[in-house]
Amino acid sequence: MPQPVDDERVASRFGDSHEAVADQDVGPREVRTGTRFRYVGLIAFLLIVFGAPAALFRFDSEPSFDQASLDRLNSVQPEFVFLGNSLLETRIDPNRLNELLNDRAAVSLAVEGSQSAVWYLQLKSLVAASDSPPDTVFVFFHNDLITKPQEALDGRNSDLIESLVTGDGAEFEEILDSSRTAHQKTVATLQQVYPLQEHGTAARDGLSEAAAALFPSSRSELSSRADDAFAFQHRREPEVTDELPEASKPFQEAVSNSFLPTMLQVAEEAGIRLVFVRVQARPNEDGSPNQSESMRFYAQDLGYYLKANGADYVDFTGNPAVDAALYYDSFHIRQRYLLDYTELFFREMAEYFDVERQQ
Amino acid sequence: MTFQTLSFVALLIAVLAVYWLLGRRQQNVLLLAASYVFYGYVDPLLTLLLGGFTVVTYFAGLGAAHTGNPADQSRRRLSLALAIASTIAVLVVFKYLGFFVDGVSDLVESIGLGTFSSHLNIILPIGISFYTLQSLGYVIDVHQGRIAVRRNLIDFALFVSFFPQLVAGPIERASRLLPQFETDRRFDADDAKDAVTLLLWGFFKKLVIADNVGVIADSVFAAESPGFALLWVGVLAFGLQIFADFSGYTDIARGTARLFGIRLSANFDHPHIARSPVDFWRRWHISLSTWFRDYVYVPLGGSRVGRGRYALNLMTTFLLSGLWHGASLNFVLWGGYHGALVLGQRSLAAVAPRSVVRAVSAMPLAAVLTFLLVTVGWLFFRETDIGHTWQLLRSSPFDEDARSLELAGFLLAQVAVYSSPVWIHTLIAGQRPEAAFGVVSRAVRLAGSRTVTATALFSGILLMRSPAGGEFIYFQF
Repeated sequence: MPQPVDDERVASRFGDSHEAVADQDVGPREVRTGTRFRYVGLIAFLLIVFGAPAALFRFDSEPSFDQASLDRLNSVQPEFVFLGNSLLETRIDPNRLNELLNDRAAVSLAVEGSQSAVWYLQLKSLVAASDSPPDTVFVFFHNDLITKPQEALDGRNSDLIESLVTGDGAEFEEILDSSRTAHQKTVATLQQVYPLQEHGTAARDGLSEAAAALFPSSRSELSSRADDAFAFQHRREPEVTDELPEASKPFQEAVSNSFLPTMLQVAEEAGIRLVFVRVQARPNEDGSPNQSESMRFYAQDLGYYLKANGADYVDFTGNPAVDAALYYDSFHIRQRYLLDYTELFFREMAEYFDVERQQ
Repeated sequence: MTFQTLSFVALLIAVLAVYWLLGRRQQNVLLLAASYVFYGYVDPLLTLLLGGFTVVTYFAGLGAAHTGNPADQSRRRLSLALAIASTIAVLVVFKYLGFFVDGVSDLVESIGLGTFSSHLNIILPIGISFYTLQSLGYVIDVHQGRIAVRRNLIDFALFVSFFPQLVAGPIERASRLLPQFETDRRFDADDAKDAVTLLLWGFFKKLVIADNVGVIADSVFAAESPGFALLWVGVLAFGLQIFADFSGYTDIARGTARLFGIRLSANFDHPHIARSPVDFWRRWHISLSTWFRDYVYVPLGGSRVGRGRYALNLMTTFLLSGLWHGASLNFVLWGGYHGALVLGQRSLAAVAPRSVVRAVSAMPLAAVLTFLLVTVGWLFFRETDIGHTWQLLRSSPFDEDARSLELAGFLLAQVAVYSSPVWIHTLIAGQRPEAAFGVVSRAVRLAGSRTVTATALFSGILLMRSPAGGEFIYFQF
């Protein structure tokens, strides 16, 4: 059976190497001088450890803009663009939609884990900035995500956000600042103090590249193979625990500190019809919608607001065609229903796709 | 509150700003207040449980103390029974009741007696498995006369709730921790440097190694049928993740405590170079394994009994330590697996000549074999669905094609890259670094002054921390 291990026995370079100097070996004056010297040493140690990394990458160039996505939009010139996260990925198959649309093109810019800050930037910097902006942009969201700039506030997707910001990003920062809590402001300040943090993706990519160098296939090929192996359709069924999330704020309060008004403005200026699609949380077994009262009021107010501001709003909550059996978890649709859902969406949204003109 | 939040950093700085200006008694009051703020930060009601348990074990300790009067025997026994019963009651109610009720519900359903709703919705209070064992250890030690009873409630409450080790250990012995609260502490600048370096190493292990490697482990365990090669890369990744996560937590706890002049036990001793299952348990979660050894295994009779009884004692101890991790059969299975490994080793050692045993355990191959056996065990630990575990175990290496092997190799290489600091640390600081690496070890020692090491660790955290970081794994226990 195990034996106790003494703290000192496992002393290591990482923090345990010190053995205190016995002060009784020196006189009182030497003790004071020695102690003072050690305090100065401690301050110097802290300044170097926490100060030196602040200098790294301080004068680095701006992160490069995601030109590849813009080029793709310019070459395809889609009539329809979809923005959203994995909820969109599991609902709309762009290939199937393109088949249904015959000679008209649709492009999905879905990014797993993205939220409204990314969607706003995609709309502004890619979609509206393209040579031939699309007629219609569908934005898929759930709950009250459309008025929560959370990802940008807590630092998630920061690399993606950096690659989508054009100009000085002042407008973007202004919206964020109005929403930031004291904690989030501290995080933002720390990000400015240590610009090193912005190079995380590049550093991880470098390590991944080093690992891939051992194999015949390229890193991008291996990474895409990994993405396939761990894609939604190959995942286990999770134990689903449906919750009834409350709206974090009433809509009127939430909208003023969100990207929504700016999204509407960008779309109007570019002549794009914006359609906000609220996806349904997995309905209850009896088919009734699974949403809290506060979320219901939020959705109602959101609908009024969008209509008053020239955008369209489609709420799939309560749609009887989308029953509980289609769901993988509380919000994602099972992979095997991806094509069915795409076709359902195409039918339900016929007016947007101008199906009659097509026929 | 958790270590990787700014709230914790703010609390730490605020307490430290005052701490070294105070006398010992005021220091203890301050630490106690900070511990309750730390514990009740998310849910203040939790402090009621912590406080209530502290009071019960405090009085149980008073009652269990030796008085020299034989007439007090029954009172002492009763006090010990009270401490044991309250520990078991707290653990059963908050940790195991749902598990047992679910089991009964399944049984009732399986024999066709209908169904009943078994969802109890009891939330596990964080740290409960750690501070209950630590407090119970105190009462047992007092009862056995191994330590003197403590009458200062502040010092005792601090012993139960000391925030650096409150939520995930190390599970300290009263004989080691209490005297530190009872003696004057003096600020030492060099000690503070060591503490900061230890903190940074702990954060590096958690945020850079565990969280990055954990992405691979999580992906594999989320897959329906990952296949043989991916499965074992995922299991290996999880083994390294849990080590980096838990030992990272421990180092942060020890570094934090040392900033206050308190030394906590080392919980890990380079378990990756263990030469046998027994050796592994001398190096892994040492504070828990020694607790079970001293308070369960030895009282059961330990090894000084017949062969059958010895095997029973050993398996009971390992099964209980598995169950301690959580109310789930997979943890019991994991405990049983390790019990069987230790029992197997002991049985082989009993029949093989001593010189052969010594020669085998000296071979590097023994470390490799032990590492592989321990890694297999992590499958039982990580996969909570026993049925799925068997399904995974049935995956065959012969079903793999070149593409999937290459993908598994790529992920394995990433795991190796991310976990390389752990191996380098073992080379530098390990007690028995392999002779072949001696030169490397010395070179790194020369280059690795404390300031350079700490600066590199902090830069590494800023640059390489995973965006997919989560809670410490052992918080769920």
